[in-house]
Amino acid sequence: MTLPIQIGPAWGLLGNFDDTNVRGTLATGGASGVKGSWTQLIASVPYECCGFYLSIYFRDSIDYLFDLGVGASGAEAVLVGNLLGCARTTDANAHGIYFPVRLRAGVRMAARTQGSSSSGLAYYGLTLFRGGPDVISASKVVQYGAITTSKGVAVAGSNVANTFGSWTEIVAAASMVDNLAGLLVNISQNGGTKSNTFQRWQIGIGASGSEQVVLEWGSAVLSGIGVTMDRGTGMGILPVRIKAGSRIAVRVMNVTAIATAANRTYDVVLHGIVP
Amino acid sequence: MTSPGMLSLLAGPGTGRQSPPVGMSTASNTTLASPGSTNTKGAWTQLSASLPFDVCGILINHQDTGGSVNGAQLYDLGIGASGSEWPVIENIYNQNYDVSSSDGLGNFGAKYWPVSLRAGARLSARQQLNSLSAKSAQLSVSLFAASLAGPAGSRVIAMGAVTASTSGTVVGPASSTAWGSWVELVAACPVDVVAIMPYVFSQQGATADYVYTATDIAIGAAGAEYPIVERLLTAMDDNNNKANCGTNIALCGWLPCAIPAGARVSARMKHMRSDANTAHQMILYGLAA
Repeated sequence: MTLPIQIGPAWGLLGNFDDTNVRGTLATGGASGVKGSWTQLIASVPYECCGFYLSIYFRDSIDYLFDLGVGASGAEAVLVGNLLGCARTTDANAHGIYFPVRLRAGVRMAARTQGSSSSGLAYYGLTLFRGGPDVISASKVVQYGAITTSKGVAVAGSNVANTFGSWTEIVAAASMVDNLAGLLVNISQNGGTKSNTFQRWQIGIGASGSEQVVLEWGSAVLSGIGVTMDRGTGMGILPVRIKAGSRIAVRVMNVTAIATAANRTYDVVLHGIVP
Repeated sequence: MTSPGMLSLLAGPGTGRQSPPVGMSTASNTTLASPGSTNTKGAWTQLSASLPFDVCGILINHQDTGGSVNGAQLYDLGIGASGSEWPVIENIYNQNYDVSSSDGLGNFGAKYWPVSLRAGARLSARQQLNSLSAKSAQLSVSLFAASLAGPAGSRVIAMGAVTASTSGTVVGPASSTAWGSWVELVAACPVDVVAIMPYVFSQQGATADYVYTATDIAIGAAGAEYPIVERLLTAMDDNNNKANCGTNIALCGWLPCAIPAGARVSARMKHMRSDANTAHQMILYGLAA
């Protein structure tokens, strides 16, 4: 059996959703760069879940970090922290991600939002998957790379075509305390004006100068948008296993030369699935 | 909260040390052979002569190339010797976006497919286009090494793919914010399915305003549909199928839903705003046990 897709009988039924407006529950961001208050999404999860599909709808033209939490009001614990979002006012922006994380029946679920500008709007919807006996789940999701300005670690490509930029550390070995069974890659624009190109990304583990590639993929960049299907969280959770204590770094290559640094720089946040 | 021996059940050491992905040279993918006629699969193009290790899943990396008009593609990934290829993933859908780009762009991006492939297998791909002037697909494949934990799915089927027009099944209601009717994707699921990945997308060439769409998926006879997944939210951009931070071709990922062979599968949609071009299409990919 292969995480993260969890083979087995399950079904996903409505958790919270505003059918009239086709969106979830609003959780408004706090001051610029500050998490807003926790907003309840579900008072009591109706059955034990093997995972959930989280949809987040956001449309203010700012950068976002999203938290999903569990626990009683005033005692919420972050379950999925600092999902990165980058929105443009004129477009529809959303995350839609399945997390194979188990939820106990009766647990309260909440969300909170922060933005690079105050009072950013985000709507959180949950579809709850009830698993069969052969469905496995992870226990929690950790994140590396989110910073208080509602961005991730800036990763710059080289200004030379077909040449990797430098490795950029996302998390130091000493700070990586969990074994990971899966990886969710979350990439956003980091400003600049992106031009059409094709990219080759690598994620490596190991000391600086001795990085070993554990994940590599290629993707296109769209002019003026800079974020394609696999950006954000579009690749979903991938079965990449990383030991606790590993330093994780990222680098990127562009098929075309991009002279301006801002136009070849991206924000990166990594989310790890902890068994 | 975690199953005993959880780590032993999980996938192996990621992509292994396969670099670059098969089919990629420096930072360019392999261009698939152009089909000879519209809406008909072309010849198979080899991506790897021999996979270097047992694989539990692949990440298909997509870009477009050539062409003079925006179009739509359906492509297959296959294994087997030349002349004897067998589709292990069928009818993966993509729309072209920026025909003016010399770099060739599609809005598909990279997507994970949890199929089990043996070391030594020859991997190839083929495509069909809705116009011979449309851009062709360029592909490479990142390999995820299998562990001793057991296989992933055996193959992926496409429910709702319409090969005659290189498209999907129209599910979303146009010019309405009411729930649409249930629309059949397949009268009888051909295999036992253990996981699903819904693709929701705007009609190729349609120019819709930005819209959020909720999708329900059900099994059961017409008039007695039983939902197995509710309210999958997807987002569509306001220009012609641009992809952005949000979803376009749906990013729902693989969901742990089992569908028995023989089941009728259907879907319905609801949009947050009314637009003449919101008659969204859908293909439901199913992972066979």
